[in-house]
Amino acid sequence: MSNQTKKWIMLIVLYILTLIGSIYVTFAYYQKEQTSILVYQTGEVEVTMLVSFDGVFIDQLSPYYDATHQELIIHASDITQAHALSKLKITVVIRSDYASRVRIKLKESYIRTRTYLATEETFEEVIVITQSNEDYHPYSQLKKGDMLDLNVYQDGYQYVRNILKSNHRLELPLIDGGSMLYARTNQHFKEDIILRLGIMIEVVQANRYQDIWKVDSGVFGL
Amino acid sequence: MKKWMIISLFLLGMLAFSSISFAWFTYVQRKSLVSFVSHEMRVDLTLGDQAFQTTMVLKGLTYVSLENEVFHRDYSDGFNDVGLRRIITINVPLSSPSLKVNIHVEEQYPLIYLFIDEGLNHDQSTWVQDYHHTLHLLYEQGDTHEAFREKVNEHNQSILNHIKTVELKPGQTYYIQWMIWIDIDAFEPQIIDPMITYMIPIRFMTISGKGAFEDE
Repeated sequence: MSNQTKKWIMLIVLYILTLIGSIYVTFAYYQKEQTSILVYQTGEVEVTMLVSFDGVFIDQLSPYYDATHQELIIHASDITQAHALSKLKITVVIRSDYASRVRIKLKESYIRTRTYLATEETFEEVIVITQSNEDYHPYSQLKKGDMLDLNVYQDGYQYVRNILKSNHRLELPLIDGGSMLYARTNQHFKEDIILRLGIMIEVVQANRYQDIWKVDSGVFGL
Repeated sequence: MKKWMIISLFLLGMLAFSSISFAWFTYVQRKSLVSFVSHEMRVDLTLGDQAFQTTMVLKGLTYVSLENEVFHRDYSDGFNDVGLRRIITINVPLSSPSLKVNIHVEEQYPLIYLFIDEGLNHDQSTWVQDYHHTLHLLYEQGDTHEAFREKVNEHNQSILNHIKTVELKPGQTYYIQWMIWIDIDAFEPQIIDPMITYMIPIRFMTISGKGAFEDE
C-alpha cells in the first residue's frame, strides 16, 4: 500500500470519527432537566354559618348573638319580635382541603321567664321539648331546611351521610323557621320564652371518625 | 486604420463576452441536496391543573394508619378519599421530536406515595380508584411496617423505571396518578400536627426518543 493510499484511508477514518463524535455531542445536548419543589401541607377546613331572621342576616356583633357563650338568642313565643324563632334561617357552609366526615349537634335551651307585674319579680324555668316530628330536628321546635340529609343517631349528633370530598363545598340548610311556643300573659304576670341556641359542627378527616368520635359506620345510616 | 479597427473590434468583443459571462453568472442557482430541520425538544409537565413550577404549594395531606387501615382491613372506609391525589401529565407537543422522560421523586419519611401508571389512557373513568386495594394486595401476612413501606417503594420505582423507557411521540400524553398520605404509625406517640409541612423535590429529565437514560 502506497503512502498516498494510507494517507487517504487515515483521512477517511478521521472524518468518520469526527462525524460519530458530533452525533454523540448532539444527543448529549438534547437532554433537559427540570426540578420542582412541592410543598405539601395538611390543609384547612372552613365553616361558615349564615344566620338570618326574616331574610336579614346577622353577624357576631348582633344583639341576638351572645359572643361569650357562643349562642344565638331567639324569641320562641312572640312572633312580632325581629328575632322570632319562626323567622330564623340557618345555613351551614363547609369547605375542606381534604375528604371529611361531618356531624352536627344543636344545643337548645328553651327558657321561660315569668315576670310578676306587681312585684316585678322574675322566675326562670327550662322547658323540655318532649315531642319529635319528622320535619323537625329531634326534640326541637326548629324545622329542618329543604333537602337536609342528616342521619339522627342516639348520641344526639346528626351525621352527614356522605363523605365531603376534598376541595368540595357542602351547603347544609340546617334550620328553616319553626313552631313558636305559647307563653301566658294575664293581669298577674307576663311570660316570655327565649331559645338559646348553640350549634356544634365537628369535621374530621374521612378515615379517622372511628378513632376520633368512637363510633362505627352505622352512624351514617347507610 | 485597419489595424485600429481590428483592435477595437477585439476589445468590444471581449467586453461583450464578459457581459454575457456576468449575465450568465447572475442566473446561477444553487440547489441543496439535503435540508436540515431542527426542532426543539419540548415537554409540558403538569400536576393536576397546574404546570410544574419551581415551587408549588399543595394542601390536603392527611394521616392514615397503615397497620389499622391497610394491614388489617380489606375495605377503604375513607382511606381512598383522604389520599391527596394528583395527576402528573406528560404531554409532548406536536412541534417536538419524540422523547423519553425520567422522573425522580425524593422520598420523604413518613410520607407514603403510591404511583399508578395509567399510560396513554385519557379516560379517567377507567382509571384505578381503589388505592386501598392496591396497597392491600402488596401486604403479606407477617410483613413488618418497614418491610411493607419498602414494598410500596419498590412498586413505585418499578413504575418510574418503566416510564423512562417509554418513547413518547409528538402529540401523545402520558398519565400517572400520584397518591400521598402521612403514615401516622411513624409517629411515637401518634400526635397529629395540623401545621406539618413536607418538601418534596421532584426532578424530570428528558432525552431524545432514541436515547436512553444512564442508570443513576
